[in-house]
Amino acid sequence: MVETAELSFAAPPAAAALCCAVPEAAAADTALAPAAVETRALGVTHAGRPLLRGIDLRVEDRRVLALVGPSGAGKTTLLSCLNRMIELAPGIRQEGEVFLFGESIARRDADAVRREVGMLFQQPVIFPGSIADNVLFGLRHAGIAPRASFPERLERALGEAALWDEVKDRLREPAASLSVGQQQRLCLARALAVEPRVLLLDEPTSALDPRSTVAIEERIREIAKSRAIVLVTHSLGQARRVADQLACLDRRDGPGGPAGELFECGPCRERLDRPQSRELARFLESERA
Amino acid sequence: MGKWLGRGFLFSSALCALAVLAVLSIALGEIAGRGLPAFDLAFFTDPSAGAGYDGGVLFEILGTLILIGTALAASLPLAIGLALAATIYLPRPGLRRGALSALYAANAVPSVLIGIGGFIVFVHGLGWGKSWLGGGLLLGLMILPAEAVALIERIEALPRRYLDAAYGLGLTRGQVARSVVLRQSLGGLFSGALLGLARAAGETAPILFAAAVFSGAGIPRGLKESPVLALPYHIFVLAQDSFSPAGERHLWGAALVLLLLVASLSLIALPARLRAHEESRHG
Repeated sequence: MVETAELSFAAPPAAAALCCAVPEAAAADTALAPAAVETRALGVTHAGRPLLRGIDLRVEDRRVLALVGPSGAGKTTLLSCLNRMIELAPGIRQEGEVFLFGESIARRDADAVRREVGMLFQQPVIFPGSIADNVLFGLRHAGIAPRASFPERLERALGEAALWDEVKDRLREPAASLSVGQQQRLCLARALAVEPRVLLLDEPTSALDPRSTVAIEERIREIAKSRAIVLVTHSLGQARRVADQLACLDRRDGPGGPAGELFECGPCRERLDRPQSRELARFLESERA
Repeated sequence: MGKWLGRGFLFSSALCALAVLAVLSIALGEIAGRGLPAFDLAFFTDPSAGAGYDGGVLFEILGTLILIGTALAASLPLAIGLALAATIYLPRPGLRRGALSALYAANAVPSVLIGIGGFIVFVHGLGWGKSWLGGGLLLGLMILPAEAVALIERIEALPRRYLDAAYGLGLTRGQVARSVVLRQSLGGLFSGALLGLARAAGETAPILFAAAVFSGAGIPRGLKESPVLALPYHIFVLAQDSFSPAGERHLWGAALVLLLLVASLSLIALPARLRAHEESRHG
């Protein structure tokens, strides 16, 4: 399922299994490489109630995919399938497959998958302790790097999150003393410190002011030079600014009840300017309103 | 109408609080008033003599400390393990609820039954006779549910986002348990330990059967047949048998020492408990 499947308004709903297209310029680079993340016929049920159905998605390495859709469509559920966080929720059943650089994540150790697929949440989550403690949290407690490398990794991660200059003289101060925007970049640094190959961002700027939002967006573009990023966002402007690809998720009736399905996936600006599905057109309309 | 109801509720709540405080103050005042005349240096540094009517309570204090120390050492690791099993390792909510119900039920087992169980297992079954170890283990078993429940409640109050953030970094369940759950639940651990400690220090029934004697014991030098003296048992026997003013003074003095022991242990742990609570809230 690596070919682009364009969906028109006239397409029957059942044909909505989509893959994200690779931009032409990058197609040559990625033609031989497996996708950073790929899902095939991914479905999720909770206590027998469907949450996601038939999701086929492809995210290329060193690209940003923006995942948009109305609240309750299952965007966060989809994200948590990509790093097996979904398995921590009780009563969840998953079908279909998720591949990370061509390898099924179901056949790999879940903790190792989560180290390779980092995640940033809507609200910054600060652990008790200093700024440095927070950045090094994963390295220190998962024991994945020698202690001697901590100072270098600390500086690199904070640099990648554009926070080094602001905190380099107060690394031992409590992380809770930072502003919310700085805390979110600290969480980004913490995720980057374990050097993930893919980054999942779940509405990372929804709690931030415009200035902090710009800072995070700049970071996303920079980080995408070396990693694949899946960004859940409600802001179409943000998707336009930072994403290469766009995927639209919405709920649709089906066996067992309504569940999130993928309606459209393709080059971000192109799809935002000329939506191919009724669902994306409706979502764009509601966002503009 | 609602306003008057609110005021009435506030007034009755304040009244209940005052009533409890009054009863507590009277009880504490009574113990302090009757126990203080027994206090002098020798009361704390001398062993008891003359069937408990004379001398001090040195070995009763040491015996009590040995028993509650053993109880804490035996029960805390188990309580931590139980709490982690119930909150982190048991994935199904039904199993979790079952484990919690079992702990609540265990917490309600009368101490005299635990004492008889200990008598059968430790004193006779294992042939330890009366031993500080058997008594400590029994007290540990008795306070284990309270410690585990306090810790479980603290862990369950921990915001889910901390666990998700740690799992999202690739930490294993064990690493999350160590680095997030236990670290941020230290307040609950202290609370549970103190609750257990207070109960263990005052319990008579379990040690009566398995560990304590009224006289003739000092610092235990072995595991088997090595009983200890203990404040609650000392108080129990004096309360039963004492008919002289000297014995009564000794009895109230020992009761005040027990009260101060529990209170001072709570006070010693209070700063650490507050610090842990603050750290878990504000980082």
